[in-house]
Amino acid sequence: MIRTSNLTKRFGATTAVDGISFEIGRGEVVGFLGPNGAGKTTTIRVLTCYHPATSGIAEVAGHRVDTDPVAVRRAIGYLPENVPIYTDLRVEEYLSYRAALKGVPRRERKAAVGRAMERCGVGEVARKLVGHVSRGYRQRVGLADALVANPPILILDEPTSGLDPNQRRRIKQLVRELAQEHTILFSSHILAEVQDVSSRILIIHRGRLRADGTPSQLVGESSGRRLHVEARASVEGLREAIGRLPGLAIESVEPTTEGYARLTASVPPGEDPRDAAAAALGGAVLRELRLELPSLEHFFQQVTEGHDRAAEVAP
Amino acid sequence: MNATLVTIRKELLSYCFSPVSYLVAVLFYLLHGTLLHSLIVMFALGGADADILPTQSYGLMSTFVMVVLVPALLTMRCFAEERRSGSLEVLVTAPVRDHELVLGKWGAAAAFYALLWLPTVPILWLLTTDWFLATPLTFGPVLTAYLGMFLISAMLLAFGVFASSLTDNVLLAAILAVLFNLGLLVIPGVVHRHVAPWLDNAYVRQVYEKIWVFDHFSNWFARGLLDTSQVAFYLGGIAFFLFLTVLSLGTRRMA
Amino acid sequence: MKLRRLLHALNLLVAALLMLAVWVMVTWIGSRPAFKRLWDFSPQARFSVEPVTAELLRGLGEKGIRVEVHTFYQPILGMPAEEEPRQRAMILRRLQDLTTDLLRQYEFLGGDSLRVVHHDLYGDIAGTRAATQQFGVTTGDTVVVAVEIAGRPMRHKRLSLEGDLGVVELPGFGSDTAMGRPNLPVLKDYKGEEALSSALKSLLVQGVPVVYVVRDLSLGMDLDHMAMGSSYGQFFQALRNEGFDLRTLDLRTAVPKDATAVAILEPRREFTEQQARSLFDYLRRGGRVFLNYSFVPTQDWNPDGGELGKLLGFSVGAQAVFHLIPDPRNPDNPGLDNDPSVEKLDIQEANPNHPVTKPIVIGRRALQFAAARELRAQAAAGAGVRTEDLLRTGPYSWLATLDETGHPSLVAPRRRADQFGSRTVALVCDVDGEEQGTSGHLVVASGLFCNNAGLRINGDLALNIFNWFAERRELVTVRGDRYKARSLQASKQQLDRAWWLLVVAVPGLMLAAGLFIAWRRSRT
Repeated sequence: MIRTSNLTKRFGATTAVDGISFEIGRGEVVGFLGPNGAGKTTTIRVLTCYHPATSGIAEVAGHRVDTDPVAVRRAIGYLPENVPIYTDLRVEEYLSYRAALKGVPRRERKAAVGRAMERCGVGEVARKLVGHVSRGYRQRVGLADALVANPPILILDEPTSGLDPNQRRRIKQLVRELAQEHTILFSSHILAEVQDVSSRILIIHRGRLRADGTPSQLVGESSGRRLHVEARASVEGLREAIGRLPGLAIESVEPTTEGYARLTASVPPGEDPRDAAAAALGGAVLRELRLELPSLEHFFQQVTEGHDRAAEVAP
Repeated sequence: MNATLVTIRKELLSYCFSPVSYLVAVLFYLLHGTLLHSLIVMFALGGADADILPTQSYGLMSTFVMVVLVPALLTMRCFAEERRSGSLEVLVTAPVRDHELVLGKWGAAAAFYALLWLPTVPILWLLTTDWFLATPLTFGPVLTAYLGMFLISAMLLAFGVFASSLTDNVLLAAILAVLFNLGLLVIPGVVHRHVAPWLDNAYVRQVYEKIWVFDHFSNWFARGLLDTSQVAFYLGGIAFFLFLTVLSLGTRRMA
Repeated sequence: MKLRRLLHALNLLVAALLMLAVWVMVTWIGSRPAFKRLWDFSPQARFSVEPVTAELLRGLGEKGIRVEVHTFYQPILGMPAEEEPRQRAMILRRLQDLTTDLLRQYEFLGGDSLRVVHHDLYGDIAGTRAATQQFGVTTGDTVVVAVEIAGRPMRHKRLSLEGDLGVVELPGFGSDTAMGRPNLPVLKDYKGEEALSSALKSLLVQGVPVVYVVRDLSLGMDLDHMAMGSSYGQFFQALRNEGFDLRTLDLRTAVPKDATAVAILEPRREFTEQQARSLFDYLRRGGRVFLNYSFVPTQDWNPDGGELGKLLGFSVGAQAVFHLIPDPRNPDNPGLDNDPSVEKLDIQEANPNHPVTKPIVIGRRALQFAAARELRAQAAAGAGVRTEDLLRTGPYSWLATLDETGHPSLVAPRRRADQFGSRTVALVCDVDGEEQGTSGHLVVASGLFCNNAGLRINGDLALNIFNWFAERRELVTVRGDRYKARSLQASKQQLDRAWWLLVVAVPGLMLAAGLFIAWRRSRT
């Protein structure tokens, strides 16, 4: 449904998006992940025909962004960041206007608006002025707007930004429901949300696509497996015992309570050295023998060179 | 075309629901009513030809102020506000073509402007009834004056929409538009004497007559004369500025 | 990619310029005569011109004719306080407005071939002076129509705002003090289009108007083939300056077909029946005749009009007419005098409604006749004749008796009221023409006024007569009744009601509407 090939966007001297290629198939829910300023919004804007690309191809629902923008826009329901809407209209008036603008015929408009409001749970504020509803409601109105013409593709830019945890949860739930009928691309800089909802993740950093795959794929590829051992042994003994195991790189060894030491070693991807470790320690008393699996955030950190503080950890 | 109509409807409703519109209307009609009343008193005392009354009523100060200020006020938010609040993105990414958008914004502003002026006609008519002045007036000049003023304003509105598309600062857009309106209405009359030598050339003269919008309104439209060549000038001007707006929108999107 | 940005900017500029060109093109096409339309919705369609005028103006371009219309309006600054001058000022201002409006139509229809120049008497002194000299303009509120046909020198005509373009009804002719205060002047009608188009048409006519001066009746006169030195030399020169061609005529022959007018100056012999008939027939063919009698002491040389007079209904008295000179300190008491200058008659009453004398009245020109006799009306023997007085003396004129030497006595009769009176010294006879709708005109003046001695003072009158003769031929008939002035009458109560409507009701309604909307919108 969405396909880019070597998409590049420059603003003057800055390159916001640098040669991105990916493909999103029908029914997928793809999370677009990256720190602030990575190029997510820019890429999305190219897809929605707000900016033209500097070079490369972008195709949505079979239509090229540069040659057939109106058809592209017709296929997309877009919710930008910050949800700007006209504050002097009532919610249902706004949605009705948007429906009309998107070509929903008059006969069907009322029903379409009603459906969209119901799905997004804004029915109870239908008659209120947009300026008078809370942030959370406004986000959902924006989502209703994206839905009202029932487009095959939904593109949501930071749909949960500025919301409290309850509101965020509701939005995520909504996205999951919508995933059953639409192809969804949404962006976020909050890892946990992306992880929860998407079937696939695209990680973008400094304009370049760093990763593209399902969460398990990504995690699987990442380094960051660790072996944690706490045993009744000396630091040297521990170090020597585990050090003998192939492939492990010892990260830290330190004494804990008297007589016990704790060791952390990184494990090559795909391996599970616990049995070997237990064997290597002989009959020593074990307090802890644990294989820590890499997390997405670890992967994320790695991929974004580990310097980005913007990657949040799940609550 | 449909998107244009949808936009017109939505923008027009916005104008009608906005309290500022009513403030402007009240102030204008207050000013206009006071000046018109003074004019009528002057006519009644001076015994001047009643047929000139409609003409003079459109030549009052209130008309001038309205025509200079209101188009700028109506259009200043058209695109500047959208760009500032980010809603331009939402607007533009709907399956709407740029020119439909521009036509829609301008169309709504023009329609609302016409509505704003509309009461002046029945007011004049009311005044002619027995209850008030019991003087039959010919309405030909009233209608042509209304049309002429509307055409001029439509062109000023088109420029206002253009000015709004150039910036995201609403105030700046308003100022640009006001300057243009003032310039167009005031400058040709003021420099007329100085350019007199060039006016010997028939072509220069014809161009100048077209641009001297104020004079043409007072002496033609306001007297009941409908000159199709001036109408062509206004239509061309409207198209020109709206076209510039479409160009401007396209450029801004690239940035 | 600076280059790309530059190209892009250039692209935009070109697109914008193209659209500008489209704008210009649309306007230009809309201004072409084929597409340009003017619809007149004004009251009584007062700004529309007749098809005759429209045709006249549209045809200018193809014939390569250039027309210029120059206006010299007297600027009206402020209204005078007294009634009569204020009324005059208002009328003038209205006439100026109406004429300016009308000239806009002319410009619109005439396109590139017609140009209107409004001279600003105060703003552009040099230019105005040059123009007044070029066109011989001597008074304000004049409109000049000038025509330049390819290759020939420019010819022009002067029109007076009040006299030719407006129909101003002036205080009555022959207003006796017994009749009460004179009325204020009133603007009755505006016939600017008629005047302008007629002037234009007459200038476009290829031929030059010809005046035939009759020789064979004026014995002992020094007409001498219209040489400069003759006693009418200056008059003839003035006529030539106005664009007339002068030729001589003997009444033995019939009046030539190309005669615009015939002038008979100081005849000393009576008309023969055949001559009278010949002239009458000429009048019936739409001719114009100027007949100028005077008084000479030789009895036999004062003809009384003879057969022509019988046909047209006038006769000329045999005695000289004199008038008392009023004492400026006591204008109501004419006083007695022995002053020989009583010979010159101040013309105190001119017909304010006739085109020939109206400009005299409006311009308050003073006329003087010398060696005058009295014109008396009688029943006309010819059919279709109407007579109208043009000039009369003041109320204290008398007919002089002859003294011992045979010369008229300058001594006024003593206080015998029946001897004094106002006497006619110029009149006009209109004769219905053979052809329907045409008419001939005879202007008779019975005193000297346009010879070299009198021309300085009376030149206007003399030229008026001949210009009127020439223009009538090219008159453009324009639908009358175009202009009706209606004033606004309103009682105080009505004005107050209007105030309530305009200042309270309407804004109040808007305020209410606004509040209502605001309330509605805040409800959910």
